[in-house]
Amino acid sequence: MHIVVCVCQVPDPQAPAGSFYVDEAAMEPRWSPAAQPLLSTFDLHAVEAAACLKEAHGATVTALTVAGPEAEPGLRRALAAGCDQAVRVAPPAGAGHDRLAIAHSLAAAIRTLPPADLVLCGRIAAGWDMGHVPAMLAEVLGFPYASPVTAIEARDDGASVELRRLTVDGYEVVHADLPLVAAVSNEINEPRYPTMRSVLDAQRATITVADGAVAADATAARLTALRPRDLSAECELIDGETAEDRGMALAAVMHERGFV
Amino acid sequence: MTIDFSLSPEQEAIRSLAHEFADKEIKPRAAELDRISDPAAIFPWDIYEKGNRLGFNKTLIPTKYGGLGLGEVETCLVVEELSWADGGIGSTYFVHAMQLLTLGESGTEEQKAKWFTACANDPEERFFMSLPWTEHGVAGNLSPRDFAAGRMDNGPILPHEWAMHRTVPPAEQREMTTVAIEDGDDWLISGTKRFITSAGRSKLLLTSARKGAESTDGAGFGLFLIPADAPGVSYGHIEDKMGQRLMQNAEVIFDNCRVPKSDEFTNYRTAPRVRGGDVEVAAVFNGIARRAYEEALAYSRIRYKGGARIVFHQAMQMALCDMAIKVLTSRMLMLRAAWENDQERGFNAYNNMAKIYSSDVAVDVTSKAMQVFGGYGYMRDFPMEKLYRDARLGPIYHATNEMMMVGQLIPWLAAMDTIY
Ligand SMILES: Cc1cc2nc3c(=O)[nH]c(=O)nc-3n(C[C@H](O)[C@H](O)[C@H](O)COP(=O)(O)OP(=O)(O)OC[C@H]3O[C@@H](n4cnc5c(N)ncnc54)[C@H](O)[C@@H]3O)c2cc1C
Repeated sequence: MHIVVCVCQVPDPQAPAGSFYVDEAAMEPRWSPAAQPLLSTFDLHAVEAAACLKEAHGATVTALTVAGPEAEPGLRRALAAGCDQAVRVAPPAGAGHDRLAIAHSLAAAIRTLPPADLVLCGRIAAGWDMGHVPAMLAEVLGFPYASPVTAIEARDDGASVELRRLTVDGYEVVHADLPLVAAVSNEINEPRYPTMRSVLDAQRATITVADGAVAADATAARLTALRPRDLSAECELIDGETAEDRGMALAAVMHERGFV
Repeated sequence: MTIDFSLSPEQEAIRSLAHEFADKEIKPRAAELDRISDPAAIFPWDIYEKGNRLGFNKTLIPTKYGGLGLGEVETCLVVEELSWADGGIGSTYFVHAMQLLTLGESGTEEQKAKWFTACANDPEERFFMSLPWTEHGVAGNLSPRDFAAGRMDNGPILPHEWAMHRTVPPAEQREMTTVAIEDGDDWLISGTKRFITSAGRSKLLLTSARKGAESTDGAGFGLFLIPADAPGVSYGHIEDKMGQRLMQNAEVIFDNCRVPKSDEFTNYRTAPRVRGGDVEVAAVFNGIARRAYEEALAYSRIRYKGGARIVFHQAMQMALCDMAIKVLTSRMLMLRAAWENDQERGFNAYNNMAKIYSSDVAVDVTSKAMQVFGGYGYMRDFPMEKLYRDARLGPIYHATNEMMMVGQLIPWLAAMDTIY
């Protein structure tokens, strides 16, 4: 089985808020060295899912990213966490926030690799929180698609998998033929720490740089403005004779405004 | 132009792994574990096992024995990050690393093959080493009283001679009561050691003892490798400490413990001994100091008092600047010393300085950081009081700073005209 895990880096979610700001003119987020990008959280779960399948059934796992060389630490993390090889495709010129161009580039890169049986992604990148790429990628590749996936098991026929898909009030069990694109959620596993030895080996591994970038479509979605959210807050005091009255009043306000 | 202060990508990856582990596995639990009143009930094996599985106790073991074959710079990076989350856990790893260095430098090939391999392949991932040296009457180091007295002329000062003399002063001056009595092909060891890090938890003891009940000179001092569960070894009082409670310190009692002669560390007196763990202990206190600085800075940005957030009060600004300078310089000194050691041109003075300076810095920085927190700094709801308690150990153990200056650092300084 050949598993391709699509990964990307996001600013360290734990970095202090002050280390991050929005450059409105350039329409880009910027961060200080204290907030170095990390592999996106859901992508770590996707890598772990691939590593588990590999351990259980044997597989070759390729980590793939469409990004500049600054994304290489993330690929090395994926290598340390169980991927066998890493491929980086330079981002298409002018892609900006055009997710479709990213999906096309990923698909083009996947077609240059040995045929992929399973393509795993994180359900959303913890940077822009859009979650568009996995579905677009499935569409471009012509593969079936499942998301958000919280369990994945290879079936005995070797040609299909059993998935659990999260729903609002439970989950669905789905049998899907391979090849398939699955976007995984954090419930799927607890990513293990790479060992120091695997971290060192990953540092010494070669990352393949492929030229699979597909130019962005000028008519696709364009970003026209990027501003930080206005975080101003207003305080409202709830009145009432007794504590019970105030509690009732508070509940009524919350109900009225749709909080509960 | 060769000077370069950046970490290599490997070093950065190791540092960031250790930090991630410290942040997720240690930091959320350290305060709660620290508060357990029974010192015998604290030692968090689950954290240690997880860390060892990642390789934190194998950095200094050469690859041919199954270790990671890394140097002291990398070991310092790991210990500093772990100590950032908890000084006691950092100290457990520092003491263990110090033994690995000694075993690497002074052990015979058989000893190294046996114990490095045992550590690298321990299925339980519980392999730590202890160093039972300190007794009530003898600490790790003493100053060379008779040596100075015998050196009244203006002849050259030979740091090695001085330092070696310090390391092995006449046995009766060390007031060492633990003895090794020859018995055929074995030594029989009896005596009590105290304050010993990881005692009762570790798997291997590198023990000091006076050879022969009557021996009175340096030749009578021996070091012995003893499995922690050997017959004749038991553990006494577990110390109830002010800080660094996530490491365990206890008495080690030897009662006619039989040690084959092949387990003696005969090479110890002649092997050059520069890499003595000083930079790893510095890493513990650099981690604590850096954490205190980070906490103080973050608090100063949110605490509103006297019309402004306190980061805008000049007195707080001066404290923060002073802390930052000390944290950075202490770390640079540690890395310089560790780097020199890894280049095989280690120099005692840098190592000693790194230990002394980092421990003083940590006490000072945690104290200033507590001041930034005001009353809240004194309360257990905030991390400052623990950092302060954890830092206070630095100038005391692994030789007090006073003893390290008079016993180790000064011979090197006295033999040179300057330092750079
Ligand atoms: C938490 C902890 C962990 C430890 N772990 C270990 C361990 O794993 N293995 C081990 O062997 N030991 C260990 N020790 C022991 C430690 O190394 C000693 O406590 C330390 O060296 C000081 O010795 P002492 O306690 O006997 O103090 P003392 O020697 O009684 O010192 C008392 C004071 O006198 C000063 N003083 C003593 N001698 C001189 C001198 N010659 N010149 C100038 N001033 C002097 C000291 O600086 C100090 O201020 C540990 C101690 C602690 C607290």
